[in-house]
Amino acid sequence: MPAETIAIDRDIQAEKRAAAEGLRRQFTERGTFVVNLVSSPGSGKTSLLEATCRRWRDRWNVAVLVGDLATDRDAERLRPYVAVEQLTTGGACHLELSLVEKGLAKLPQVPRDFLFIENIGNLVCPASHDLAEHLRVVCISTTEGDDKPGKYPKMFRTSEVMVITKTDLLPHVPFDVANVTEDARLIREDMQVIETSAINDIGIDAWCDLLEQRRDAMLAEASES
Amino acid sequence: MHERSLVRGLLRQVDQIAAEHDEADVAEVTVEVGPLSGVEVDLVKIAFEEQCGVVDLAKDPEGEGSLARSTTASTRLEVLEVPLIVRCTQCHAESDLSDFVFRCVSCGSGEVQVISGDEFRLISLTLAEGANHAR
Ligand SMILES: Nc1nc2c(ncn2[C@@H]2O[C@H](COP(=O)(O)OP(=O)(O)OP(=O)(O)O)[C@@H](O)[C@H]2O)c(=O)[nH]1
Ligand SMILES: [Mg+2]
Ligand SMILES: [Zn+2]
Repeated sequence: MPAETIAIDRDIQAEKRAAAEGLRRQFTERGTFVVNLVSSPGSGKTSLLEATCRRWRDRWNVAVLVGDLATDRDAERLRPYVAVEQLTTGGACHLELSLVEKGLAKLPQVPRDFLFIENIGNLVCPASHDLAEHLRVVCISTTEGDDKPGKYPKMFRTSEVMVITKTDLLPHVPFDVANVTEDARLIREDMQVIETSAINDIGIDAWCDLLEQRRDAMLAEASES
Repeated sequence: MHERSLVRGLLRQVDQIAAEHDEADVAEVTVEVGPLSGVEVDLVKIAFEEQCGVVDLAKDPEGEGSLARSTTASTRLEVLEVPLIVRCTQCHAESDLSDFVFRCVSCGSGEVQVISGDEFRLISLTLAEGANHAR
């Protein structure tokens, strides 16, 4: 048999993309707004979620899936406020949709209003994995330098909101909010920017408002179609 | 590094296609990678070498025994790198971006859509001459 070349031309991740799309549609129909939180390690994702869930305890039905390479420390921090399930990746540097599905099945119930997915601290690999979210949010803390967006373009291109965390430390660190905003908007011109300090409870109102508005927009769009 | 799991997905598809072609062995796999795909070309090559021809369950981290039956240690990976091109939603010009500054080169607008550069695609397979792994 002579050598034969077969033309294929297909997206290698097509199946995964379709699965994420399908799950997102189910969430939309149910009215559950899904947020995928990404950042480098220690940027303050769990702290932001603690502040959010504390505030929303009697307002919205919320659940959190929190990814970690090992340990359930983040889940334990959130448990006082919210239904939470730990997703342990066993070393993998990002969450995949299959792990999210497993976590969902373990939750006592699918959240009615909001589902937060805290990704693994990593600005590279999580950028390439659609977790069926409606909104991808990238956190950047004032201690990690204001030059990060340009260094991790895919993450900032695929995120719609940038939360600048730990703003209480601004007087002590060389971090310019204007610089980081400009850098992010070179990659994504319409990037929404929010400044927060979880330990002082600053900016959490604006953050919660933004999420409520986004969920309303999702519900409005769903009822039109 | 998530390239390992991406390559696992790729090899699974290669196996399926080879199975539809008389279980032929695969000599070469051609893929297309864009700068915004989130896929590092060097890491894909390493992962490909690691996994090609691995049918040993113990070596397969996800325990999927049928992995990479159609490839062998000598299967080549050809990577075609594609440029990052955006189209302006204002003036409709296309810009070939050399860095990740998403601006239209013609009018400066930031309202641009990626039309090439985020792909990780399987382009073609070349089957080995006469070889066949149906056993
Ligand atoms: N000063 C200050 N410290 C903060 C703030 N938010 C979080 N931290 C601290 O930053 C450290 C990391 O916060 P986490 O919330 O665990 O960050 P994370 O992004 O969830 O971390 P990983 O899940 O490990 O990637 C902790 O010591 C927090 O107390 C803040 O607003 N101000
Ligand atoms: Mg955390
Ligand atoms: Zn233009």
